[in-house]
Amino acid sequence: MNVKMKYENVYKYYRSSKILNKLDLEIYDGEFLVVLGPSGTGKTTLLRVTVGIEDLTAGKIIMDGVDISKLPPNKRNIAMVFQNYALYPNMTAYQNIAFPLKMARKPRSEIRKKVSEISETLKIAEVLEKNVTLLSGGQKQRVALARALVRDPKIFLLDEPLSNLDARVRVVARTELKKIQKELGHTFVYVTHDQSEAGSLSDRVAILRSGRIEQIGTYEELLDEPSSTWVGDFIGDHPMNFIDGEKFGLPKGTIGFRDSWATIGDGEISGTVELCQLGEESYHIQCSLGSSESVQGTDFVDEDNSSQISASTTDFLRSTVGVRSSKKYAVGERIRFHLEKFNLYDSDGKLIESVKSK
Amino acid sequence: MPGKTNPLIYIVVVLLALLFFYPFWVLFLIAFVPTRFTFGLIYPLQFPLEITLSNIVNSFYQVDLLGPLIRSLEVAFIVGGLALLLGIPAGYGIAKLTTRISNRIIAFLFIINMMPGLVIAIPISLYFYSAHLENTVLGVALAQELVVLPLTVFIIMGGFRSLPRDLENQARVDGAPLSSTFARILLPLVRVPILIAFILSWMTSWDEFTYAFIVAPIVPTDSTFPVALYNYVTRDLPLQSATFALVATIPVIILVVVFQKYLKGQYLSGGLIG
Repeated sequence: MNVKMKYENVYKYYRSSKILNKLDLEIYDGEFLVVLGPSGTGKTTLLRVTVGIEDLTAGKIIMDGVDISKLPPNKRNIAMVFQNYALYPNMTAYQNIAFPLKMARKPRSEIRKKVSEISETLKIAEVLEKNVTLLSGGQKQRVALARALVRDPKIFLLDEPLSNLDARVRVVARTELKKIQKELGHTFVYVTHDQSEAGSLSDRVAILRSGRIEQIGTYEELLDEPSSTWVGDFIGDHPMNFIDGEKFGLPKGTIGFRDSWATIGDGEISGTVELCQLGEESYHIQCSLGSSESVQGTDFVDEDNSSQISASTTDFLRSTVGVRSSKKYAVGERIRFHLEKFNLYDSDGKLIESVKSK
Repeated sequence: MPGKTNPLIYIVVVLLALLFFYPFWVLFLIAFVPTRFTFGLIYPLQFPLEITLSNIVNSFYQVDLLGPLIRSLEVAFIVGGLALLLGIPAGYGIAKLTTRISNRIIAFLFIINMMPGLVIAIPISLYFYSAHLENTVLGVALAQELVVLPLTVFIIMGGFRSLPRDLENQARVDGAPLSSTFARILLPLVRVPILIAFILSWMTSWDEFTYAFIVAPIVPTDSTFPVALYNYVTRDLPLQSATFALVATIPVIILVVVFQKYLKGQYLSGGLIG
């Protein structure tokens, strides 16, 4: 895969706070890269330094082999859709979309042709003559997208463009966005804190943490093999469950596992094992385990009992546990978990090994 | 449905309106009613029994009305134009600063309005004299600019501050140089504050006396209309003064009526953030 854009040792400080802190990243040509991270980790700043409306404190951004980090925004040929769309409120949708072309001094006939093409693609042809302040959220989002797409830039940056839409429109818009990206074959960098967007849109996901890339890979890779306990905890619908490896005779490490088979979330602590009920899906059973006495010594056994991991930690068991099973459990019953797949982390939280049991 | 308005409110509104309009009514009577019903009576009539234009026509012949009015118009338009020329870049720049700093700068600008006009006008007039600006339209306009500029900057800054910062960033991303960003996006969006700033500057200048009197005092016919009016009043020409005052009110009334929908607190507050 060709590298379209490369960040080398990128730093961005605001006064004393380090927003981007030694960030390195490669973006491939034509990929849909989602930058995922909790708020305040520098996601938006990453886009802003890329497009050039903020200067780098140090480092380089290289696009198509050329260092663009010192160029002004209008020389970079990078398009960006801001979170609030930043549509020009004094213009119609048409004028908004045509604006970048006008600035590039394209002939009027070409502008008209391109605007009508892109608005056909995005299904906004019928609102072109309306003032943008009169459009619905979804239409605004498409106009903003059209304005970015129309000028044929080298790369597209999108800053949580779906976050202002209501839930139903968002899901539709997400599908369409992915479709458009695949059809046009453009490189998209999409910033979000929404994991489901990351999962459904991305070719690859880059996890941003404290101003640097913590891990990059497909969403499935990140789910299966988080490179650190932090990523494991952050990514996925449920955080990864961790148990202290010393309990299993491992030197200073942690075992992490996810709900591919069993989930242990940090649910509320209740006094006793008092509730077992069917979850939303029939094979999901949620059990509240509370009293440490009654469940201590619970075994973690794989299916054929070949390797047995014994855990007697009370912290671990004071959690809500989701188990995939057709069996009903009685209160006070001992539960056995099958760890289909788990990861071993060292004491600093870095991945040592990803283990799949048979 | 809004609650029923207390009818007392209407009575108070009408009374207040009468109070405010009475001086204007007197001006009207003096200007349009034959003098035997006004100055000719110890207790002048409060209703126009007879309307005449001869007072106004005579006034135009007897004193130079047109000269000062034209001069006032010139000065007012220069003041208004200059206010925008300086106020737009200043307002744009100050709006980009953090609120804490920009509010201090604005407060600092307003210091000029807190000082008595004479304290500033007299030293200025000395400088203007050596710069050959005394008794000139430009001189008066420059002096009056001092009064209007802080408010102009404040209002225009508020306009810029109320715009989302990303609009300008978006324009840069879209490849627009600063000039196009200004002409096509920012200025159209702050046109109402700009208009208000212009009107207020214009009206302030139209009515301004102290600076006009000190910078261009010598030849009455070369002065602006408030100064000329002062001259006629002190020379015991009440009829001409009243006519003059009435004529001078007309542009202000037109401006206020035409632009009244913009003259609201939200535009005048300058987008102050507490």
